[in-house]
Amino acid sequence: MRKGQAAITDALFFMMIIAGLATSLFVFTSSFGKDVSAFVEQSYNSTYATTALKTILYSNASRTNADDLSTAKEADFLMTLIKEDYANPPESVDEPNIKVSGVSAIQLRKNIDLIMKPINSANDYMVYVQAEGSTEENGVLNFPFLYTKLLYNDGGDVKETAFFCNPSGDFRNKLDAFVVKANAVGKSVVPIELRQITDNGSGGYEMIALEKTRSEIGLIIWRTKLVEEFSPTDWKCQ
Amino acid sequence: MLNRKGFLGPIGDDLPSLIPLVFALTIFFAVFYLTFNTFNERTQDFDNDTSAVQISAALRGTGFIASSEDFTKLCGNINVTRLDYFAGIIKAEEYSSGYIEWNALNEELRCNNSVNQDNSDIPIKIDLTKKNLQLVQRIYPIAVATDFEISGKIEQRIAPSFLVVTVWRNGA
Repeated sequence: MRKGQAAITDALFFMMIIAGLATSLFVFTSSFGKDVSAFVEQSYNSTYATTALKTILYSNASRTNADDLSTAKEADFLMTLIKEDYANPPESVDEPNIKVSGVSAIQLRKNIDLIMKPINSANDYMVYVQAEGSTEENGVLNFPFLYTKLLYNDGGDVKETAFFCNPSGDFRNKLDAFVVKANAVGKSVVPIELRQITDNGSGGYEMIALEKTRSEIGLIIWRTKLVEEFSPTDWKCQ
Repeated sequence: MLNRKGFLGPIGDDLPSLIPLVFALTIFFAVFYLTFNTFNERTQDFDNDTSAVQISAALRGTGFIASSEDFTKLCGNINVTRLDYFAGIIKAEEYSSGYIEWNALNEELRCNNSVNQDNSDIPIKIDLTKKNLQLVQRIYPIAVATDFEISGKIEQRIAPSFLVVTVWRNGA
């Protein structure tokens, strides 16, 4: 009887060890590769943001408003259109930041929406052009172009909405806070050189490069979610 | 010994202890089998992902494709043998969500390493319902020099397109 008890106790101990081992194996199985998968996904999003921005910068666009590239009589690099638009003096002194508008803004928006199609069902995005301040307000950053498509709560109606915005002044800090809050999964930034046409003081005009080189174009991608930091009024969106 | 009451023999005496032993061993081998299978499957997934990244990196180059010769040259840089793949370009306007087939890709801007390599006009058929297919399809934006007919003349313009890379397991 004692021998039988000892054998059962041994077997139960053995079962306990096996149960521990099996649990360890099971935990290992369920967690195996999660980090690698997350890294692969992160790497894909990051690469996507870089290649998307490259494609936007390389692509041609129609120089006329509604035309597609396949029908437009005149086409140019999209970045050229943006630079031209920015170089032209502002129409209104009161709104010096609204500089990338009209054809270039529409073509840029069309291009962005097209390029983001494969990932737009699960992601929101924003493209911005940041420029050093105009000659009057040198040193101050402004945003002549900002386009975003994101989940927006319009008085209880939550839906994907596109916005053109023209924020100014201290917006850089707000943008950084937004990127952190949105938990961006992909971000790509490329420095660009913007020039402006200015009055040379003797009745003519000249093209000058902005003194500092902090001008850039950026693309930010994040998983679709409601980001409270976004405020159309604060960001001066249309 | 045989006259002792309740004695069932050397094995019979330990019979009750054999039940937890067998039970423990069954659990162990079941979990071991599950672990082994999961490990194999996920390793294969990583292999597919890595290959898709390698192929896309080789084909993306500078992010601009100037001609079909340029693309063919880039295809020559791909060194993936353990897995089947096909890759190619599709116009951004023609893209629709879901799985992109070989036939949907631009005929001059596609390549593969499948058995149909000798005759790339033969479409590759992949049975998407097949078990253990472990198919990975990655899409990247890319700028491609494309011919457009403008006012009766052929004009080359740089159009946004997508590079599609599809990788699956040999023999799946």
